[in-house]
Amino acid sequence: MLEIKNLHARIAEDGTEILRGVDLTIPDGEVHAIMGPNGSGKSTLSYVIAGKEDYEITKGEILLDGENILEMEPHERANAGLFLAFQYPIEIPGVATMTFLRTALNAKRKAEGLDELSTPDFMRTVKEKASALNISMDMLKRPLNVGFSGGEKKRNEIMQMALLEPKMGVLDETDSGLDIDALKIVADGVNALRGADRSFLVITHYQRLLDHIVPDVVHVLSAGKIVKRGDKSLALELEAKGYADIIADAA
Amino acid sequence: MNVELKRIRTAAETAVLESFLEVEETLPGNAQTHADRRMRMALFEREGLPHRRIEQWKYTDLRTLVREIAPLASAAGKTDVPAPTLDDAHQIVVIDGFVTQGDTGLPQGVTLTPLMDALADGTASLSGAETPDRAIDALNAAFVRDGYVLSIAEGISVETPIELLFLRSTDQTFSHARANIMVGEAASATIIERHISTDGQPTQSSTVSSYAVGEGANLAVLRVQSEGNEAIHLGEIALDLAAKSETRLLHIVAGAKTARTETRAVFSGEGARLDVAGVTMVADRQHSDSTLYVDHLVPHCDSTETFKAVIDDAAKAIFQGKIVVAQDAQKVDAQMAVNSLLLSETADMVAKPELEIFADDVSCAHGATCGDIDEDLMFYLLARGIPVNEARKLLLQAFLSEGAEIFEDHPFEQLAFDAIETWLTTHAER
Repeated sequence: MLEIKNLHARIAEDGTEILRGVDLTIPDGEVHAIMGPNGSGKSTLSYVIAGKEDYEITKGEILLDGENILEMEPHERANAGLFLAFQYPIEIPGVATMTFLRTALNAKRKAEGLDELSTPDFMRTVKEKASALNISMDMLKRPLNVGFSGGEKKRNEIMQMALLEPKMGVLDETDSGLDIDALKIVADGVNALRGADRSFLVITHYQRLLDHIVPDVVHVLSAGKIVKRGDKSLALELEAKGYADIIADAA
Repeated sequence: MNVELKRIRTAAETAVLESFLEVEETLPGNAQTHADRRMRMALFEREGLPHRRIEQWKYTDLRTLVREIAPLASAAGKTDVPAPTLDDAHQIVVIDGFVTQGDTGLPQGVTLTPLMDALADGTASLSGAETPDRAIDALNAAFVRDGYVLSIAEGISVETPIELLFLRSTDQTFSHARANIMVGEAASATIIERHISTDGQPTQSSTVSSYAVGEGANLAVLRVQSEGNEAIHLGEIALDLAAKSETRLLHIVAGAKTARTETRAVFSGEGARLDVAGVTMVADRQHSDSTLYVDHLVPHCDSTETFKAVIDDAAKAIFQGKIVVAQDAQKVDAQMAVNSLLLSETADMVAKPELEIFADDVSCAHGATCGDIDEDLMFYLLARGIPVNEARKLLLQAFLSEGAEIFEDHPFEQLAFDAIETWLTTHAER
């Protein structure tokens, strides 16, 4: 379960306040969506959860299964079960995708007190997860995300999530830059991971993704606060009417 | 003011001059050799150790960096000879400037001649340019006693690598060695040049390795310099590139107290290609200078120059790269890039890429970057649960490995990766 309580955050460099009291609880097994206009703080929220240094938390807390993750380093949060699927996955020339996957998986196993996976076991696991997301071995032989199309990068993010099996997956605009087919593959990948002890926070601009990954709760974020909550029909309403009315009502 | 300041000779300079007077007569070579030696020493007597007022030595002021000169090595000292880097390599071993293991089992078509024989019969020469920037070559020429000429005969393709191992023993001496490598017409060779000293030993050395790459020949050189924190290393790699030859040189520097290695490449025949790369890894208070000259004297030649450096603690790395394209050298393509990562506030990097182009139909470029590890790359790895130290190591490895690209799918690529891995591991554990 992820609990965000009265979270305030600002950009460390210039002090601009972005999050102004976010309250959000995602129980185990649920999928919550966050929608909101540009600049409402959606991506900031995902970065703050993952622990990016560029932000300063001025108030509030984030608990993962009751533990305050704000006191943890980013890699400790990941190993505690948090996963952020990046909006813009980074290209790292010179780091082989397989080396990266293996290092990440072994770091997690080490944190859990498990031995490193043997090479055959690791290869088998990766192949299995990759083929489900239509990722070829050829792609895995390349340096991390280098020469990948936008869609390939997003599929690679979901593959990493499948490999690391987090308790809580945060998907930051995973639908951006995807065509319909790729969107379907990514959504199927996420749906396959849904389960009683895993929850998701899906950040998106568009209702389209939520046709495929059907959320339990939809939140509207505006000017750094959750201004409205509803079920999946709220997403349809937003798609039809836009944000203006809801934001005006909340103000 | 027009007053010439009288230069005060340092203790080190005095020691060099005194030891030359002492040993000159005992050094090998014919009358010409001795005349050349005296000529090179006369330059030293006039100019002294190179210092910051000499443009090419601005960042490596040997007058201040080398306070004391160790006694001249008179014999090979005791040290363990490591196994060859590649299992099947032939090893030619020089300890403290003396050849201790020579031509046993060299492949067909490869001959090794002792330097003293080559100097006696005039097939090797110690003459050289009389300009103060050529201090390494001059100092080496004045004092060198032993070394060899390694010849690969015309048309011979040497499959097994040849390792030129230069060791400095625990004796605290100043040693000089010289190797002339002749790769015959249409021949091919794979050479590992390895420079090692024991950590904590204040050894001093100069090494000149001179490669003559014949017409249509193919040469691959991996030079690895890994010396202790007290060592002073002065090196020169000379490359003469004949027509249609192809040469690749990767220079890996994993430290010494003070190191300066000059690579001097001259294109002397049309249609030749040179790929030269450098990977420098320094920490503590190490000082490492890689200076490169590429002279395109003739048309239709291509060269790439790629230099990568990682600098930590209060270490300093210098890259000077000068590409000269002569007026007649049309259709030349030369691409130089220098990238460095500074890992601490006190780390220091000097990058000085230079192009001097007299021809009008050429494609030449250079670029330099200097920075810290990219925070976004770092965050991505951390967000996947990879701890800070491992993430740093992965990124540094990735950065430095790009320097080995000229040896993609060549056995040298893996050797380069291993050297990088070793440095990063030992460095992280300190």
